Amino acid sequence: MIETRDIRVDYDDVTAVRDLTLSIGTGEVFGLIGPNGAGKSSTIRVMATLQRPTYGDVKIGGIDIATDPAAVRRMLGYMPDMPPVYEDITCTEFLELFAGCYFMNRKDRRRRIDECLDQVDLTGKSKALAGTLSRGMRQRLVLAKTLLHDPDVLLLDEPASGLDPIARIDMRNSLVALSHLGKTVLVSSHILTELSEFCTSIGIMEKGVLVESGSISDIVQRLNGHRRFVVEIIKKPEDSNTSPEADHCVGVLETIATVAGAATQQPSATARVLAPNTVRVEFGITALEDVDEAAAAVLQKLVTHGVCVSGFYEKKVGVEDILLQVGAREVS
Amino acid sequence: MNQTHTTISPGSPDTSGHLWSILFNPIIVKCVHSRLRLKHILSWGLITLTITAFVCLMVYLTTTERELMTPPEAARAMLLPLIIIQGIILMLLGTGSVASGLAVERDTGVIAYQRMTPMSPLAKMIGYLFGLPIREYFLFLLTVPFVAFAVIVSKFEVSKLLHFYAVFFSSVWVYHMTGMVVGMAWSKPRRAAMITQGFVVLLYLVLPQLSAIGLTFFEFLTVRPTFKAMLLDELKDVSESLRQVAEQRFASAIGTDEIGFFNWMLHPTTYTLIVQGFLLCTMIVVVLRKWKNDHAHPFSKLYGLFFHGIVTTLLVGSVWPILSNESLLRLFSKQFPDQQPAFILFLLLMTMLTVSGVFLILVVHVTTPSRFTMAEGIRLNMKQGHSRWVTLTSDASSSLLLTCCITAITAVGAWILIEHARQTGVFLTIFPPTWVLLQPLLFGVLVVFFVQGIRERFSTRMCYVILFILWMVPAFTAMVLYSAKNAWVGGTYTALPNPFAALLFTWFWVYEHAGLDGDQFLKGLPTDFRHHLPMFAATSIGLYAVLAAVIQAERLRWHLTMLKRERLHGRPTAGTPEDTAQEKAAPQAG
Repeated sequence: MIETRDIRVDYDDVTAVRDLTLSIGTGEVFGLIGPNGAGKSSTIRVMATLQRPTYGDVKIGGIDIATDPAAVRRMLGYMPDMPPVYEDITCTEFLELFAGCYFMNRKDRRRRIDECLDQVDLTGKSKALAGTLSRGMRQRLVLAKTLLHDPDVLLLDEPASGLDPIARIDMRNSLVALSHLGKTVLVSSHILTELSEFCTSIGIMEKGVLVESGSISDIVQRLNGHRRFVVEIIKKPEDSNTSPEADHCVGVLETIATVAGAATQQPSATARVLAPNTVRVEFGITALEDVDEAAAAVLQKLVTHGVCVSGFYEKKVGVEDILLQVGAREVS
Repeated sequence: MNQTHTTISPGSPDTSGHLWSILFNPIIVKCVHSRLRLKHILSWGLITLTITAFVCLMVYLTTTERELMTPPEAARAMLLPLIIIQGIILMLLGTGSVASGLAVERDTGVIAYQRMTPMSPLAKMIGYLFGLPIREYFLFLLTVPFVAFAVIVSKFEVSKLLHFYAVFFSSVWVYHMTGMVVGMAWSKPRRAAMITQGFVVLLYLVLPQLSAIGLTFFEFLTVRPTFKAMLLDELKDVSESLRQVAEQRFASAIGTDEIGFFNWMLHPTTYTLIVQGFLLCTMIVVVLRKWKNDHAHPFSKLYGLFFHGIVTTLLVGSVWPILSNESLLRLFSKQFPDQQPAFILFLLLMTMLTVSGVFLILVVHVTTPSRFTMAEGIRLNMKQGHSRWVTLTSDASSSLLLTCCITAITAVGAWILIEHARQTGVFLTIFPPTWVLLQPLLFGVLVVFFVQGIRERFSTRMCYVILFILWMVPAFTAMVLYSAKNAWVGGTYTALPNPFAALLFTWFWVYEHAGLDGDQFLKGLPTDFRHHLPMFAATSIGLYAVLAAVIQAERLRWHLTMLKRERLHGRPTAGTPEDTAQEKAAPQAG
């Protein structure tokens, strides 16, 4: 649905985006991640036809934005970073304005506006002046405007930035609901927890370069070369600083050919209080196929060698872990 | 978020699309909502009605009750203050509303929503043009009953009034478009409002003063000529003060019923509509280009060429009849009673060349790409595998060719006037040799090429800094030398980097060298100063010849270096530290 090839964006002698090539399929929810100044907003503005790239091609729904921007705009819903509103008109008037600008039929307009206000839970505020809304409500109002003409593609630039925790949860719920509507969504953020729950794939930008892209599991596989597992074992309570059980477990793991990088995890302060008798050992399985079978064999061998296993599971790798690994690399 | 509601059924698009968007423009509807709420109508309406009623009653009742005028005369006398009130409402307040309204939209970023809607840029422009000053149109409507009363009681000819209002609204739209152009270019509301006020003062108050020295078309940027032609004759009969105003303000060279343009005589309204229509077209071009691409130059290179061609035609066409027609010359000469015809001719030519030069520099300024725009153009071309030279009409291409063309247009315009003056012989029986007359023209060309060079080679801010140092600092120093030391010769040499001063002294030299002065105009100058006039002219031309050559060579060197680096590395040329630090504020990436 969204295809970019070699996009470059320059601001005078600063290159904001450098030769970015990206492909996002229909119905995909793509998270664009990166620190401030990485080039996320510039990329989205180019896709939204608001900014011309120095060079490069962008196709939305197969239409080149350079040749037919008007057709592309009908397909797009764009929500900018810190979205502004017309402060001196009501929420309904705000939506009526854009219903008119998108040539929506007068008969259907009222119903559609009500639907969108309901969608973002702002029905009770329909007569309120937009300037009197709280920050989170304003962002939801702009989200309603973005949904008004039922675009196939949603470009959401930092949709939850600057919101308090409750408003952030509301916005995240809105985005989750959108992802269930089957729309193609590109959402940028530098707050990772916003994205990890509902993105089907992500792209990581740094200094204008897309350093990684793909589904989270693919990226993990590429970065680590293997899936990682955690085994929880029971230790004696008096051994607070050392754990011979953990050393024994690591020793057993190191004898297994498919295991790599076995190490004891340092317990957090909370873990020390809540589970003083538990110690965790993390390791990777290097088998290319049948990783689950290899994991079962590891568990069996640990039990056979007398390790008191109380838990055994695959480690969930979050977006944070990926970004930390990617961020450690030098961007050339 | 209502999680249960997951189906969305959008309204079907309105098939009447673009026509609908122009006739029932949603932007105008939005402005009606935001600017015409009941509280606005009541407060602003009350103020307007009170002031208008006060002014009308003061004029009408005072004069009729004291039997100073008959009711029809008093009603006729009401018209002028009413038109002034309407002018303040629509031209002053309305223009401010357009400029600040658009600047607020750019400043907050809501304009991005509008850019993304499928409405045509023309429909959006119309929406803002008529929507942002909607409150002022409403206030204008409140004054209409008073005008109707005045017209009915005074039995004023309605056709004349409608004729006047046609030009009045044309002027209003020109003013509002000025506000829109400024609002599109400057995003800070307060700065936009100030710059709009500056533009309005310049375009509609300062430039019209040039009509007194022959460039009559500037007067027609305003509603004044039509006001004079259609209303003042009717109104001045009723008031002594108005009669005086008419005689003092409007009895100038242009105060005829018809206005000369080349050999044609045009009605003031026709001429006003032509001039304002041209200005309106130019502003529409700027706004549409900015709607399509916020970073685009205000003019394309082709429009720059067209614009300068039209401006030169208007300038030459305005001066032409004065050079041809002895009666017009006599009328014009009344403003300079102690001067000879030769002085008037040179004043006309110098004014025309200076104004044309200012327009030249303006066009060069708005069509010349910054070094970064040029670099982007080269990158795009090389990426697409095209020739490394950017298309000549592209914003990213060098403006050198355009500069050559528009300079040639100015030179041809000036030369046509000089030849015309020579042939008609209205001013002079002996004409200065051609090579002498070419000196000021050559000087002007060199200045323009210098400006083009620094505009293209350096960043905008650096360009302004260089021009300030080169043009203003010597002028200020010269003024100090003149006033403190009475150093006429030293002071003038110091002032020569300032092109306006240099052009003036070059004209002095032409004037004296041609033997036209007859010890009239220059006799007040010190003798040693007059001896140095040829050197002043030569130094000015030499200085700018060197500056233009150096900067053009440097510009070419930089351009070639950039091409080479782009080809080798595909990277922009590293700017000098001052270039990188002082560039216009770039949007924050990411």
